[in-house]
Amino acid sequence: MKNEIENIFKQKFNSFEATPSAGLFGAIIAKKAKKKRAIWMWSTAALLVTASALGLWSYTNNTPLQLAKNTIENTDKSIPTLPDPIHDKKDVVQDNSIIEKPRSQTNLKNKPGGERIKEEIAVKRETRTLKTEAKTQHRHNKAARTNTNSKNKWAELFAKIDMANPTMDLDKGTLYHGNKKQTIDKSAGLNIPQNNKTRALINSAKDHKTENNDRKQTLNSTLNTITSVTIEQTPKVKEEEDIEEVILPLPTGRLVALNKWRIQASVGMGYASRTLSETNKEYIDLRNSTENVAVSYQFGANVIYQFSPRWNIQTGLQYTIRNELFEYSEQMYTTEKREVQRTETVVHPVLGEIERTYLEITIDTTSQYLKYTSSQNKFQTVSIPIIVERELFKHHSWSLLAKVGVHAGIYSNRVGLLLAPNKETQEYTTLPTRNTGIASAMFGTGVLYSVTPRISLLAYPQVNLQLNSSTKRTAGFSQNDWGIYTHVGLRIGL
Amino acid sequence: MDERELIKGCVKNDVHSQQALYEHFAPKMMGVSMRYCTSKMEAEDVLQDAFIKIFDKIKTFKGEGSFEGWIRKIVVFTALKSNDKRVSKFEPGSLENVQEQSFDAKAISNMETANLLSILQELPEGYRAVFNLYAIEGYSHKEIGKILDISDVTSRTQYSRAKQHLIKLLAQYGIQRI
Repeated sequence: MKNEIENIFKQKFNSFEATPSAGLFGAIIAKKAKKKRAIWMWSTAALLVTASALGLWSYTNNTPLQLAKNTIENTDKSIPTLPDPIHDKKDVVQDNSIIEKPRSQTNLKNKPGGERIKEEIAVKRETRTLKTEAKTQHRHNKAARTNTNSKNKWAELFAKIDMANPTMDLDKGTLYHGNKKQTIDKSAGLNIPQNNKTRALINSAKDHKTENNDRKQTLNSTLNTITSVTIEQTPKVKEEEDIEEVILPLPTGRLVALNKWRIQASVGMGYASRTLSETNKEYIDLRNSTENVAVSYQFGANVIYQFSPRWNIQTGLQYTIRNELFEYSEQMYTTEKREVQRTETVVHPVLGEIERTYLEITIDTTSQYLKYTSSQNKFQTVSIPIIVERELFKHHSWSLLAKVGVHAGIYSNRVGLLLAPNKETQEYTTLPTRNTGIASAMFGTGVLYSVTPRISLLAYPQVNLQLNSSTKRTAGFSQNDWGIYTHVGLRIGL
Repeated sequence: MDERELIKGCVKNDVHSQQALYEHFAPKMMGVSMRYCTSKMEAEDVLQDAFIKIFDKIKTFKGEGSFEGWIRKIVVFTALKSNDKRVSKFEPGSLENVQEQSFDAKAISNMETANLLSILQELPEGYRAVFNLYAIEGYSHKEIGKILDISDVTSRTQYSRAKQHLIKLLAQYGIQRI
């Protein structure tokens, strides 16, 4: 009786069929494709979202020049007229050998023997914050606070010169410094080398500023509009051929003095896997069919030293988590041998009835069950990177960067399962693996967007390749991780 | 298309082969899936996940044993895994309070499969899994213990309780206890 219920249900359901909804196969194919695309989509989406956000930011901050000019004119109407610091007040330029000259007349060969200086100041092209009086006032206050900082002496100087030269070119200019000609682009900032004459200008500007409060107020308003500075100063040399040209990339927005150090934090998400080396190809196939890629992550904190305008070197700490899905299924078979002794009677045409006995052997092979094991494998690495980065291209606040470097692993940990050559599952912790000394190379190219001279956002797709195996020789196989990550992060100038 | 060719095509990720394989096995596997689930929609979700797994893992099928058996096991395990996500349902216990009950076997044999399926679907999750695995799939309690990560004693207890529960449900369909 006990087995009857099993038999009835087994009989009834053995041939039981049901029709699934039409379109289910389409859904299967779509979901299968979606699963494959998911990892790449995550990486691409992260990149696109960052790029769109930065693009929007850039668009809202980069209004046309004409608008900027109008805004400045409107702003100027509310500001008391200042005496021309160069024409009316001779104390702006203490050195009598320096005289102001319109840009259109600037020609090195035609310059008189004495030295000349020409300063040009661009206006900030941000009308958004200047459109309302309240916002303008806020900016004035902010500018006033900033001006208490001695680092803004240059800005004060340039503001005065701007008031004296409202028709000047707003784009590029040149600074002559000794025998060097320096082209300073829109991102001009404070690492302009100073000589006696520029120092004199700073001092003059400082004196000018302290003369009266009204002027200071006006100056602060104007300072708020500064985004870049151009200085042109005649060289002491006679021949133009002697001039060596250097292009200086400098910060945009409000003029801020930065030293050579930056700090950076980033988080990356991406596609990471591993390559296996083993003489037993079948084993590699088995491992490859049981270990699937899952989304992996990286977290980095770096200190950056900007040793030249375009080059920097970085180091810090990086934490990598490579995820992997282990799934193994196996069929198990059991065989059962049944022997039955049978007797049958055969009618022979001559001998008549003959009784024959024979042994009937039946071997039943039953597929017993599917052994199914799964595990979420996790490979964690902490490493110290040494990276060299170069700015390839710069346009407004955007920079295209490339970097290359190495990572020295200081700690590694692996948790999860893998298949041993005998097809038995094995814990990673039982494998002879390296916990330190895993080295990897990295390279990548990314974009940096300067939100302010100090703060930049970055989106950085990069590749990491492990150089040595994470397993020791006794493990019988070598395993090298690799990954493609897209980092997004923040870089702060100090 | 021959089964070997079908498998080869699926290994190469050929959509036509995958469709042919699906059309051949889907009705039977839907039947299997429905035994482990409580609704058609749920069974279709299981079937969908199972076929994705089948297409992904088909390269690991070495051609040893029945292909249908291999597919069936993936469906069963996907259904069990899907149920596992929803509830934790196995209570360890002993067989002390479980009594075997007799019933009218002939009456059950005469019942429609659809009615039996409804009864099966009314069983609590854990009971249904153990009953399916033991009575229909033919696994031993030791194997069920491994599959469901429970002790074999728990599997036995669950099975006996499942049967008791089933007999109660059968009574609602007019099946008399003897």
